[in-house]
Amino acid sequence: MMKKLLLCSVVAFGLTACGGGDAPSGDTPSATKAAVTTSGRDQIKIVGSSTVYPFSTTVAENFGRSTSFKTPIVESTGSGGGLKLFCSGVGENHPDITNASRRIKKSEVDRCAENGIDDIIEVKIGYDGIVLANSRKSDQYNITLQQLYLALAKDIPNGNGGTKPNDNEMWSDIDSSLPNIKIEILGPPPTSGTRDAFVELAMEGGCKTFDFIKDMKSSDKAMYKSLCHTIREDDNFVEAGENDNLIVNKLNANPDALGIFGYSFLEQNADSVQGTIIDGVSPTFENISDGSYPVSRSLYFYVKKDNIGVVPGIQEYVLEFLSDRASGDDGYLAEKGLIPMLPAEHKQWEAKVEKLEPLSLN
Amino acid sequence: MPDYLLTTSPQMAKRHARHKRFQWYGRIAIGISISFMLLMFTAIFFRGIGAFQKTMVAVDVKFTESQIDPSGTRDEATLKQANYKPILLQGLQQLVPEATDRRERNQLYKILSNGAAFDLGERVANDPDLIGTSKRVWVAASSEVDLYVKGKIDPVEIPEDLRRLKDQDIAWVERFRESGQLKKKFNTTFFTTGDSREPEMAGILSAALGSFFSLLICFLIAFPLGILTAVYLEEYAKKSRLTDMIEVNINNLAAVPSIVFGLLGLAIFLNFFNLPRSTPLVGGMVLALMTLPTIIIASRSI
Amino acid sequence: MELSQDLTLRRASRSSQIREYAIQGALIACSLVAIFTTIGIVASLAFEAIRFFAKIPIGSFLFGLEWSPQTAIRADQVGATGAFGILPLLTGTLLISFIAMSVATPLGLLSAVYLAEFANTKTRNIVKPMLELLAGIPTVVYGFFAALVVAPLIRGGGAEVGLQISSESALAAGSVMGIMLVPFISSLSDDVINAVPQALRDASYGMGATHTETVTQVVLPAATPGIIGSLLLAISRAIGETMIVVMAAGLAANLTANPFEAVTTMTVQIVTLLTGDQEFDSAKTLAAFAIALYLLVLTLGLNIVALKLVDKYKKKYA
Repeated sequence: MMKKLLLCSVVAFGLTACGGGDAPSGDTPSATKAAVTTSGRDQIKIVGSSTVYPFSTTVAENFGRSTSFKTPIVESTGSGGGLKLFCSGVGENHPDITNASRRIKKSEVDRCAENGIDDIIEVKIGYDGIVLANSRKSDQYNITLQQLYLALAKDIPNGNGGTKPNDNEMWSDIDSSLPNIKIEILGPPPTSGTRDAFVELAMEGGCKTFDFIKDMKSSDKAMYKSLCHTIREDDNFVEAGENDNLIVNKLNANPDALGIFGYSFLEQNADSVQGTIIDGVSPTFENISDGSYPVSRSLYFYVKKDNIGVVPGIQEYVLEFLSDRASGDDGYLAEKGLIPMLPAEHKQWEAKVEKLEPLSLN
Repeated sequence: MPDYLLTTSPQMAKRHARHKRFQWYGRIAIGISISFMLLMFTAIFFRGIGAFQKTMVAVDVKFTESQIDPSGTRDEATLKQANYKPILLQGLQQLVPEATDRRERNQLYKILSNGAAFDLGERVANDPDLIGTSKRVWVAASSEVDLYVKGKIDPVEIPEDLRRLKDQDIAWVERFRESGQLKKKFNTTFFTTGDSREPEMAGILSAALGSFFSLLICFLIAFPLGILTAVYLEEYAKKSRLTDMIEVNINNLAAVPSIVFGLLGLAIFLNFFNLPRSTPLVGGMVLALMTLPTIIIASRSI
Repeated sequence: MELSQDLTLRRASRSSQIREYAIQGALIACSLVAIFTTIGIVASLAFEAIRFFAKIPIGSFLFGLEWSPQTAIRADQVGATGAFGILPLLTGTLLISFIAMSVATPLGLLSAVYLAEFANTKTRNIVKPMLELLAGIPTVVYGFFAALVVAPLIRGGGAEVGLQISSESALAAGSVMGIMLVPFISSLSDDVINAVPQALRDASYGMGATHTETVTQVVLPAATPGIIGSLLLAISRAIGETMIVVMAAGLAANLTANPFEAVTTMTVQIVTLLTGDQEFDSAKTLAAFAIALYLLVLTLGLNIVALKLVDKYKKKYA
């Protein structure tokens, strides 16, 4: 009897490992704009970015404790995965809000419209920096964006105006001043907004420094994108999943490796990991806030306007998120590593949300 | 072995020595396995035992009506959403009167957990008569203070800029400790709350309930099905193609890796039948299917 | 008197007959659940796997040397190329299972032999339950221990002697998995050894052999098919093990035989592919089902061979 109980619990844990993902979204092409039938659900469903996840869960928890509404369910699926679920349809089985560590793309807005979601409310909550961090047991790295690109890209310039597959195995292969250690970088998969933002800011920033690639931007955009955005697939870059906490743990276990994740995780683990200085700027609160750190981005979340009023508490949740207490300068989210907007911008967004202005991509 | 056999010849002695050695191999093998188990238990025990105690801070608070419920409605939502931070700060400042400017006050408040204010809110909402009184309340300390008190943060070894708990915070914490207002107490929140973003407010209740319900459903399905199947196969079934097939199936199912059952649940229960995700129902059903073969085989041998 | 008794008997027997049939029917239905489960498993895996093989040719799956499944999820995104060769996963799985078996086989067999042949009843009654306890520990606890205690220890030890050992080495995951398998092998072998007829042992003693010589030269050879069967069952368990490797093994596919490097297994990849974005018409998610089907065929194959061996052995001595 005991053994079966233990056997069941073994499998229970095993199943929780498998079953942590999202349910598949049935692609419902024809969604009528009739009333959203979420009559059953009284709990807000939030999906999306793993970077925004810690902030979203904190607000959700405080929201649940201090109001009579149920605590929202927040899942970390990655910005891309979240937007996909968000735009898959209207109704009870689809999320009300999705978090994103990058702005929604036109293709995603179009997909939303195809599935009956016309009014999306965009809410910006603050800024975040993407850091390249390693364990404090090793020395701090000081590199340029170009060196970062040469470490991670799939194809790199071969010195003759063409490209070759990336053969840099050690950091010293890129530049003799860098340490003679194998390049081992842990990063997010394509579902992650952090990946998208990293690729656009850091990788592109680095590859643009090569003139012939920069010229390609106007002549052969597809080639330019492929050169600048494709990350190598050998064992020098390891996709370590959506769980940024896991990446921090792996860095502690392996002092030679570096990890790519949001600033909030660096700040929360400052005693064990340190950020890399990029282009002479170190990843600190001040440098990200004033824009001098080159790899910084805005954080958002998106709300389905039609669900407001049908699922109780959405508006209150959004207002709690945007309150000074939460995302203001001294708020509890800043303590968790969110880089808050300046008070002027903060007030702007508060006003926008109160008016429930739908998104319009320019 | 009888002694005279040992002394008869050198070959006998050698064979006897081999016999003794072999026995030792067996004992060593058992010893390794069991000591590994003990090692695992002690490692986990010592890493985990700290969680059963939580550092709490005693704060003398005044539940002033003007700060909590100025309009006097005693409405639950208002009571819960009132701003308890200044009330707690006032209490803290009694022991640390020199923290006057904004930065220092924020720093002082960080000794307490973020959940302390919500705790107070819930207490007042449950007992509105507290308004207007002064009391000493025990609230949770923040996780950094908790780690420090448990000895996991060594202020000497780790330089100040690498720590989240600065030297001044530590000085204040010691002041509270000396006056008896900071103590380690048994961590009841570990058992009474669910997940939380704040480490000191987290508990295993939601996970425990999830396990409990999944297992409940698993047993409710698997035990009757399993025992009835075993009874049928033992008592009623005649030797036929059908019973052969059933027996072969059961033996095979017992050896299928558990992850395959998970995929079965994903594809059929979630995808095909569209059952709600992450519910104990689906979890229990898949668990039941997985343990069914083992139950049947075990019951049959009984 | 007798007439009414007759009537009652006949009425009782008819209603009890209906009850009999009803009960039998219910029991048959219960038993059929086992068949439906198997059908369900095979159907769900095969169905999705077929959709997978419609996108990725089966040859490149079975014989491909590269595993890089993280394809882009949007049209304007650039992701990985999407190579779906299973061989790196297979070698990773086999490497870890091999390490596990090298730990578990000597420990398990020696323990079984000692307990079956040499230990007195008192020792048996204490030690056997302790070994069973090892079997009852949830694998997630093993995984936790492997990732947080064993792996850093091995890494540190390697650093002392100048070896570069990964923090997610196959050695760490494999050795802990081995310990997990010890009670498995021990109890199966115990049954097998006890099944060897006493007559064989008596004959050996009669010829003047020591106890150890009897065990090593008579009992164990006789029990060999059964022991091999139990080893095969243990291998099949090791191959299908999920939790320990999810926590302690790596995520990057690596075609190597070096136990100090990080490898990934089929089960870890199934988990990675299914957590996060799930779209049931992308090759990425369907690949999980293809891997599971492969895994199922592999473990079932091993089990069938193992059971046949144990059967043959039992028939020899029954």
